[in-house]
Amino acid sequence: MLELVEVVARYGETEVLHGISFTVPPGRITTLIGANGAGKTTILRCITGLLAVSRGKIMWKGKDLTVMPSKEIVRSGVTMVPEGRHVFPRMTVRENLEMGAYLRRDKMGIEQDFEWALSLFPALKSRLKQTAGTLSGGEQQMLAMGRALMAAPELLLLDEPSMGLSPLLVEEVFSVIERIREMGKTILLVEQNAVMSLSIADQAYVLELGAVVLSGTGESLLHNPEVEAAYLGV
Amino acid sequence: MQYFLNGLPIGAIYALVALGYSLIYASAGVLNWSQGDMVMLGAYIGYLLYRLLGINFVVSLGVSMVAVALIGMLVERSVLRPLRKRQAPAINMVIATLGVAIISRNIALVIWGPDAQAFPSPVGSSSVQMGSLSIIPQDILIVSVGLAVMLFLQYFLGYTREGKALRAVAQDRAAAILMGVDVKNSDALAFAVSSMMGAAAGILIAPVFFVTFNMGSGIGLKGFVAAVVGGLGNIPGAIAGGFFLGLTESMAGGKISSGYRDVIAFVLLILVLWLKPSGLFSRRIHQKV
Repeated sequence: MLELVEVVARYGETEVLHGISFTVPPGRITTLIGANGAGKTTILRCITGLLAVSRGKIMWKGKDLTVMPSKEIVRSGVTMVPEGRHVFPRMTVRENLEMGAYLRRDKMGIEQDFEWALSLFPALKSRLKQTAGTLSGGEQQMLAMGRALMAAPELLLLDEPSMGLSPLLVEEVFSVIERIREMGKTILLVEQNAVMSLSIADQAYVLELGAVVLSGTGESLLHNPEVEAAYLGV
Repeated sequence: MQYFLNGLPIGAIYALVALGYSLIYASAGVLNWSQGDMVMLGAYIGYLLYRLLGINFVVSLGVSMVAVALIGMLVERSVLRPLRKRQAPAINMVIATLGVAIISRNIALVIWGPDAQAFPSPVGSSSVQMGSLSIIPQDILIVSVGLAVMLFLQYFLGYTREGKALRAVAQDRAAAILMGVDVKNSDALAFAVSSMMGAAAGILIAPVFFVTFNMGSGIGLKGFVAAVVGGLGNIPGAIAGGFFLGLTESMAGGKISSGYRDVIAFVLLILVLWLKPSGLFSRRIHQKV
């Protein structure tokens, strides 16, 4: 289980997270929804160590991630798929996937996860030798997710996986997220597409201006009148 | 044809120096103005080993490359890392590397004095006639060792774990961190490899130009021009830019006047910056969103 305790973070002088606390239960999909600027991405950046936390703790497997370098955080089983994919554009698809396993030494396991990633994203199979920059947006999203899975994470952080994708591709990406949950992985999903993310989430939090304002199961928030009015556009 | 042949060795030297600029610029995001002085240090350490201690040339070359690689890592660790920690603006880091250049130059001046030192060519100085063309053995040595170092770099970047990580950092630093790459190590590695290539350039050029404490400024600038011509941060571009500059200088120097060689290099720099700032050999990357 991942637990954020009173996390405060700032960009320069501006405080963007004002003491956020929430938990991410194991083996489930937890989603954070909220408008632009609510602090969703900032939370993920704090968890992965890309942004230093000014106060508070992020507990994972009995350790506080806020005092660990990014490398150790990845090693402890936390991997993020960043917003906007961030694949390595001039590396091949295969090299991108291999980079995901950068810290691993277990050849057998890497080989297995490589096959697993290709079975989740069969579109990548025929493009292994192509450079990632030549892929379509949907393929880049799949590559970014496959690359993250190559790190054999226990906790997968997904930042706006649906961004810029066609509705059909969004469906596909979300069904893969559900399949990843079936493999026993814990998922923290940050999304603007609240309808999609609430409908697959076990647990959900609504963020407003750097604070949690609502929480519940995905199902209950999907039918919550406040959420409907603010985020679902009903 | 003779001018073409003359341009190849100097082109190889420029390419090695340009690679140093581009590798550090691409992966660590810093313009390293001490690159030329790593050439000078490489030449002096080579001079010390080969000329003064009489050690075998190949061994001298290897030891000098390793020693300068360590100096490069030291520069990264002691000068750039503290600045990065304080989130200093990029310009401060560039100025800091300029400081490193001045310090290296003065250390060399104190140790080896102001006089130019002769570095005899390990392959002799008598030129070989091939029909109407004359070839100097040292030139062959420069081109072949230079190409060997470039091939080694290609292998390192393309096939080793650390080399791939370096490319990943160069292409997307944040994503590389998310893969667990320790960017402090990769920055140090970029400095080490770049300095090593500079050292190789220094020893190779030493028999042609003599070894002096300020030889780094000229070669450093030319290498920089070559890097910009090839597209700063672009590895194949740096190699192409180096040879392009070397050949252009040699051809134009021969056809017009050798006194204009430097003018030609810097006119080329200005033209590239003016007309195609991404470099003559830049590849367009198609990135659909």
